[in-house]
This record gives sequence, structure tokens and C-alpha cells, in this order.
Amino acid sequence: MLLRRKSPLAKLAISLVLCVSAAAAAAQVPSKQQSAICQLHNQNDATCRSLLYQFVSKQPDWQAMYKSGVWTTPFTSLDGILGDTKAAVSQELGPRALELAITSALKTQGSQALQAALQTVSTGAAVTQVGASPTAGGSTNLVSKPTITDLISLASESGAFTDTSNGSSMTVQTNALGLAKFMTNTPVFQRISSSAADWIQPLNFTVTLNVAQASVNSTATTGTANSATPTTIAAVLIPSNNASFSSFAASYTLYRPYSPQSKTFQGNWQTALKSNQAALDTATLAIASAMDKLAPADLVQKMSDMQPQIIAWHKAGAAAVDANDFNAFAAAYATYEDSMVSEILSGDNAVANVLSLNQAIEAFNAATYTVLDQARGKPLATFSYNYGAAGQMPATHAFTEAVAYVFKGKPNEQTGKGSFGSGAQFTTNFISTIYATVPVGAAYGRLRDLQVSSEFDLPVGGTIAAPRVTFSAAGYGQYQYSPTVLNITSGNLAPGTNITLPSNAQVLLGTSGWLGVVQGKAVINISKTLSVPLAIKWSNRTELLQANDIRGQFGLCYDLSALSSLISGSK
Amino acid sequence: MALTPGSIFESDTTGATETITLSPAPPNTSTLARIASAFYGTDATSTPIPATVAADGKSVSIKVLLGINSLVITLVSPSPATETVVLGQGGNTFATPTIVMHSGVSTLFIKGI
Repeated sequence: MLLRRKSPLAKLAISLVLCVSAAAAAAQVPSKQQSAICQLHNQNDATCRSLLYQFVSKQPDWQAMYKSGVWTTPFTSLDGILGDTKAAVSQELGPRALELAITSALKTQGSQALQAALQTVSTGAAVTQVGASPTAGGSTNLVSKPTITDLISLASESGAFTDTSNGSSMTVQTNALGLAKFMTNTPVFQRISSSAADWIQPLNFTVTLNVAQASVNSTATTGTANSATPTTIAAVLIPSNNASFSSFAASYTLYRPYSPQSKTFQGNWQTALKSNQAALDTATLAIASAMDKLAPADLVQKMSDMQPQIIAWHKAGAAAVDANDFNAFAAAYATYEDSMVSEILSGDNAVANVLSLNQAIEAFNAATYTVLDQARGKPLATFSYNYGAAGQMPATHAFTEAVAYVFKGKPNEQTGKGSFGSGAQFTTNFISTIYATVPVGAAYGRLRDLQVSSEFDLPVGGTIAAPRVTFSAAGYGQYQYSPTVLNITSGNLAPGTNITLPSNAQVLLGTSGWLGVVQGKAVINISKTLSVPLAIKWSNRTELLQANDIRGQFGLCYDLSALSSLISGSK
Repeated sequence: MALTPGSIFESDTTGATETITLSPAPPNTSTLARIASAFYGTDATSTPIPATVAADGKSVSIKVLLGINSLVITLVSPSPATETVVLGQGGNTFATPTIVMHSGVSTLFIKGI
């Protein structure tokens, strides 16, 4: 076969096709402006996507309908507002039914159900690491978790820790694939069918900064301000904050079931689906029964007889498509939907039937979570490398192997709540730390210490996906081969003397041997994106502390992956 | 045979066997979503009747009953991404449910003549 070079015209045609494809690819996810239009017309994200699909697709051919002037055909999949039952109930039917019920209690329940439905991120499936690693000063974590955020997380923590370097820290963590998706305007949780994506998905980066550490700058004076001031004061010390690099870490999750990128997870998902088929059937049966009561045959016939409303929607929709006016399209549908919802709610016991349908859908949601829970209930393991360079300590390389097991439990299909222990996680770390460099004549060797630690996390309250509080109990053991080394920079006084050091120096602190720490922690989940960790810990080593050996810590952690819909993909 | 699409319900000859397929909504060309379960019509005790879901979860088959009956289809996906899918037959689209939080529900009304 002969291959011919493409003509410029052919190249232009290909470019046009690519442009059209790009526009179509961009079409399914509403832009910020389109989302705002949908919100203006009381359409949730699910319906907004369907509206957008109808607006840009040729299924049906709205423009043909507009040109023909025949408004009854073709039919649109949006005509049957229950075609997306879940969206219709959560967006229009449920709230309207609650309004009709006129009880504030029911309104509150509906609002809470809606909030719960909106809060979902894959990171919620496991207890993830948001704050700093155990070796960072001020960290509230005694154990590194195998999983971190799907996009970016921030954590600010304050207190003491296992090391001699105390202080406050700021930790930024990011997932390599999450960042790549963000940079390419791809939804964070959308699967990319690429082997490269599968490889970089488990790669995470962490940077920890020491913040708010007291520091002083020597500043030359330019003269005396009054006659009582000695003229010999040539310089003064000005207090300043010192935000400095503490550590950088790269981690690779060797096995993480709960990720749509993972082929292993997809296999587990299929297996879990089969084992839960009976529960899914039961939940679907409940939805079908509720639907039969809400929309019996005579009501469906009445809806079908509402031709003026259907024709008005088709006319306005076709005109909007012809004018490329998405706002007018959404407005036309909102008017049509409102009339159909009113018809449905005019049926006997409609309010109670809508609430029953909503409850049945929630039960189905819980059943799908059972499938998820079973698919993810596998051991996790992560290998990570950490380069630490805390201000007063020599730089170190740390190698961590983290292994975790998630307990499945059995969630209640009606409430989504788990049995005691559902979602609990047991994590163990093995860490080895070596010094980055060893000066000539040093009194210590390359190997700094060996560490082992374990933590048990127990979610309590709320649902398994969104517990109110996660309680943790952790133990940490570290064997340090030689005393801790502290750097003293030039210009400081040598300890116990009035001698100013002419160059950098190192001192040893009597901290060799075993260090043991136990910790109790509660992470209060204010929302899916915001949590507050509170920790108290006890250590067997107190020689470096000025106060009691029981310490409290707190922090503030944000997981931005839960906000991915807000920051991804505007077109 | 094929279902004749309508605004509120699809229609067909009573007794005809019809298959409705699940496919990705363009521009997507593939989907991880599948049909979890489906029920169509009711028996003598007003209990919904299970519909036949294909082993791959990509289609559901029914035998059309007399009168207007609902076909409730539940959908699941391993992906937490919000995704719109198409339920249809041939070139006809009957519904475009959106899967949110791994699950979606669609109801089609089918009139047997």
C-alpha cells in the first residue's frame, strides 16, 4: 500500500475534526458558567450534565425539530423526568415533597441527606495521611499511612514529637496523577486509560516546612535616638520568624485497592458485585415497589397527556439550541420539569411515596458502598523515601515500609452506618534512618536509628464513608545507635560557655538507646475536606524536655481532592 | 421488534422481547458502569418482577407486558467520578441517567399495546 503525504486541505480537515472532538469532549462536564446557569434554574450537577449532553448532542436532532416545526417528535430523553430517578428525587421531587410535608424536621433530614450525597471522595475509603511524617517536628502522626490525598492536602500542626526537634510544621502533600489530571483539565477521579497513568497514580510527594520558629537578625543601628542612649550600641537583634525546609518525601504505594485506576481494584469490584448481588436486587426491588406506588399507570398516562407542556418545552428547547443559548435551554427544561413534578405530587399519598422512594434509593446507595467496602478490604503497603533537613539537625535519609489492613465490617443497608469496627485500619511502619553525610572524625556512624511503629484507627459516628471522629491508638519504638547530633551554627555561643563559635559545630545529646512513645489521637472530621487532629502522647525519654513528659498536640488538615469539582476543568 | 420511543413512555407490542443497552454518553467511548439489577412490571401480588440482566451488566431484557409498567434499572460503577450514561436501543436514547457516588437509578415506562 502506498502512503501519501496529507495535503494542507486534509490537514485542515483533520484539525477541524480534532477541534470538534475537543469541543465534544469538553461538553459533558459543565463549565463554571454552565454550572452557574444550572444552579440558577435549580438543576443539580447530574441533571446539568444531562442537559448539556442534550444541548450539544444530535440525539435528538433539536435543530431538525426546529426547522421542521413539528414539536411532538423526535422525543427527548429528558421528557421522562424519572429517567434519571436519583437526580429527580434529590433535586426536585424530594425537596418539593418535604416542603409539602411542612415539617422543619423533615426538611432538615432532606438537607442532611443531600449533603451526604454530595460528599464523596475516594480518599474517604481509607484512613489517609494528611499531616507530616513521624520524623517531622510538630507532627501529630506517630505512624505513616500508606495512602494520602488524591490531589493536594495541607496540614498545619503544632507540638512535640518523637525527635528532639520540637516546633510547628506545615505539610503539603500531592498525588502525581492528581496533579497531572489537574494540569490537563481532567476531572480528578476520572479514569485515564493509559499504562503511564497507572504507573504514576501511586506516586505521592510531601514537603514539610518548619514554621513560626523564633529567630533573630542582627541589624546595624544608624545612630542614637536620644541623648540618654549610649553611642556604643552599633547593632541590635531584631526578632523574626524562620520558615525553613524540614523534609521532602516521595512515596510509592505498592498496592492500593480503592482506586479506580487500579486494575486489581476493578477485579475486586467485580467479585464484590457478584457476592452482593442479592443485596443489590433487594434494594432495587424496594425502589421499584416505591416507584410503582408513586407513579402508577394512570398517573403516567396523565403525564403523557400533558402535550401542551411537552410541546412548549420542545419548542423552547429547540429554539435555544438553534440560538446556542444554554441558559434558555435550561430555563425551558426547568419550567417543564416543574409542571411534571407538580403532576406527580398531585397523586394520592405522593409525599409519603416520594419519601419512601428516597429512602429506597439511599438503601441502594448503602448497598453499593458494601460492594466498595469489600473491594477495598485488602492489605495496603507503601514504600517511601524521606529526606530530612531540620534546622538544628544533620540531614538524614529515611526509608519507610508501611503496611496496613482495613477491616471490612458490615454496613447497615438502611442507614449506611457500619457495624463496630467497620472501616477500622491497622497500620505498621518499619523505618531505617541514616545520616546523609558523616564528617571526618565524627563520633557517630552512618546508621542513625531503626524505628517500628503501629497504629489502630477506629472510625466512630456518622457513616463509614464519613465518620464524625476517628480515634487512634499508636505505639512507637526507636533504637538510636548513637546520641542525637545537633548542629550549632557559627556566631552562636558554645553550650555552657561565653565563647562564640567561629564556624559551624556539632554536639551530641545523651539520647542513644531505646525511645518509646505511645499516643492517643482523635481526628474530628468537620467535613470531608477539613479535619482537626487532637493528640496526647507519653514518652519514656524526658531528658530533653523542660516540662512534663505528657504532651498535647493539635492540627488543622485540608484535603483539596474533595473539592476537585470546584477547581477542575473549566472550559 | 423495537421499542417505539415516546416522551413519557416507550411502547411496543405486548409479548415482544426487547433489550435495552447501557452505553457511555458521548464523548466518552467506554464506561466502567454496569447494570446492577432491574425490575419490570408486577406480578399478581403487586410485587415487581426481576428483569434479565446480561452477564456483563451492559444490557437488560424484558418481555413487554400489557399496559403501562415501569422498568427500574439500578446502575453501579467502581469509579467515584460523576458520569452520564445512555440507556437506549439501536439509535434511540430513552434515558441519560447520571451516576453519582458509584450509583445511579433510572426509570423507564413501557406501554404494551
